[in-house]
Amino acid sequence: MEYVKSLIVTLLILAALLGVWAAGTRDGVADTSVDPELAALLGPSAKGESPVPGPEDVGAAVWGHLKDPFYDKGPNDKGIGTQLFFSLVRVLGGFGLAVIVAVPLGFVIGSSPLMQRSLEPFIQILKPVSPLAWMPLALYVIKDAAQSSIFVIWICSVWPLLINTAFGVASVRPEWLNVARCHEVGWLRRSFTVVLPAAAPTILTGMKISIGIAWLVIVAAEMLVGGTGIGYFVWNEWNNLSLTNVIVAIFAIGVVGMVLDQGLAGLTRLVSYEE
Amino acid sequence: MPPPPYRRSPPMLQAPLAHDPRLPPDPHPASAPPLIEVINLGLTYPARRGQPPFCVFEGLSFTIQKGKFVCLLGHSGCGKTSLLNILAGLQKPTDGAVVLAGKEVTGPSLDRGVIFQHYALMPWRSVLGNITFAVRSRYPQWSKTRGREHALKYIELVGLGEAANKRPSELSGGMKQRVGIARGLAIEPLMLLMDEPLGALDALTRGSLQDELRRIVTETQQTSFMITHDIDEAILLADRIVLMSNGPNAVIAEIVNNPLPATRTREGLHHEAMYYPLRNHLMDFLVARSAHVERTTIHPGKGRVPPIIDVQPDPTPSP
Repeated sequence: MEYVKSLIVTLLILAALLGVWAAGTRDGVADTSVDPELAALLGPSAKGESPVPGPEDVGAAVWGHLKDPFYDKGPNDKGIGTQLFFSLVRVLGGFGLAVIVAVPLGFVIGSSPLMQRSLEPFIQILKPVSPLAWMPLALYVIKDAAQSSIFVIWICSVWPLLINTAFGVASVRPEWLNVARCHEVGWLRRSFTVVLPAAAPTILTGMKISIGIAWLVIVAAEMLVGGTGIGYFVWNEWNNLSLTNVIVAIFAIGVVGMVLDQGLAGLTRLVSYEE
Repeated sequence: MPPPPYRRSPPMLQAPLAHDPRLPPDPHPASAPPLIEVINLGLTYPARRGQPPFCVFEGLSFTIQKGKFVCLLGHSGCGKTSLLNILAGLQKPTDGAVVLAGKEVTGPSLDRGVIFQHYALMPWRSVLGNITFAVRSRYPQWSKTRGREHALKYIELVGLGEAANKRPSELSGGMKQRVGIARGLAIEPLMLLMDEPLGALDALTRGSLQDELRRIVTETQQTSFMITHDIDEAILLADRIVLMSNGPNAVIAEIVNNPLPATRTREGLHHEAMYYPLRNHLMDFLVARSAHVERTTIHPGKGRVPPIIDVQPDPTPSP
């Protein structure tokens, strides 16, 4: 019942937003004093059309993209699905490499107060740096635009993962570790059967934060490096002055981001436990 | 002048323990070498920030025979938990040693099963999973099925057969501690160590678990050492009660033999003839004497060998 109620309210808010959007972008009266040929050059506002596309334009464009999301007609004309796929590969690649590095390193930091104290200054200084600030350095050193954007994703995913893993490992209840000691459990078995399950919810929360940030950063990174990806798509459509496609891309980015977030939230629920 | 309520028998002249005639002969007479020997154990925290060194306890010496249940009674702060941690191998003493079955204790081992006050169950594992974790540690060579059967046997023993697949969060405090007990027993340790295992439970649950523990330790003849501050719990469960003086510099003041018959039950405890003399003796100690135990000199190598007390019956009131 509660669910139905909230669904009704959601639909009402959606209707209101679409209404405001449609009203705000309604076409005005065409300025007849302007020569039609000049008006064609000046763009939509001279023809009395709203420069911002309305919901019906965007809806039509979404439908068009959904009908053929994966077409490829050369470097500057690829389907939105293709572009999203490129971005996802970069994000998952950079994120995957970050998991491989940060989870074991976080394990070490979390289980050794010495390492925690000695690595703290590095983490504190590097963590607040915008990942895009690394881009010139990455481009110069790696000399490959696609790999540089993966590096940027890697560096922005590493910090939340590192910090959450270290925190999760450091806050494993000492009594569980004592149980492991009393049962003469070796280092490896303890890591996998006691520490990892105990810290798993915290580690997965770190992953959720990381992938959220990575998805934010990839758009900006691809705007910078160009070539492929949803960020490049947005930049390209801006250069084409196709605000409709920009809005479509905004929705697409939002939907994919939500799917990534919900996916990791589902995984977190799988490994979380109630005390 | 009335006779004193108790008599200190000099350790050298101690009479052999009276054996209850209703039971089969004791397979481990007191003359056998003890299973566990605590020799001159001391724990002192070093001086820090201008504070003098802090001595928790010193010169603790006592032994536990195989198959016996020993309770340690004492006030908070006398280092009971530290002593248990040292016996478990989780903490190192600054003085003395613990010898278990002829070998010095240097760290935690599967020889000793530990039951923690706050259960220490892993919440992401089911009841069965928590026990099989222990069983797999003890018997790594066993097959999964064999380990599972072994674990289920102990889950049945503590009466949790129905709940084997539940998570600890779905269990009450009493049921959680049953899991803790099953885990301690499932590794079939030489020695079971319990740190106020029933301390976090309400009175009713506590009572039923006391009965359960009593039944299990008599059935399995499990050598056990338990910390408690509940006098009745000690009287019900223990064959011997170790009394510790107040800290700091705590010592073992005396060791009291439990004169009640092995057939004692929780309901019938207060009908036993020796119940009140024993209870009064223990109570007198905790209320008054624990603060003023005279500290005899520590015998090098032996520590302080505490006197072993046999509580005497109350004099029959004259008509």
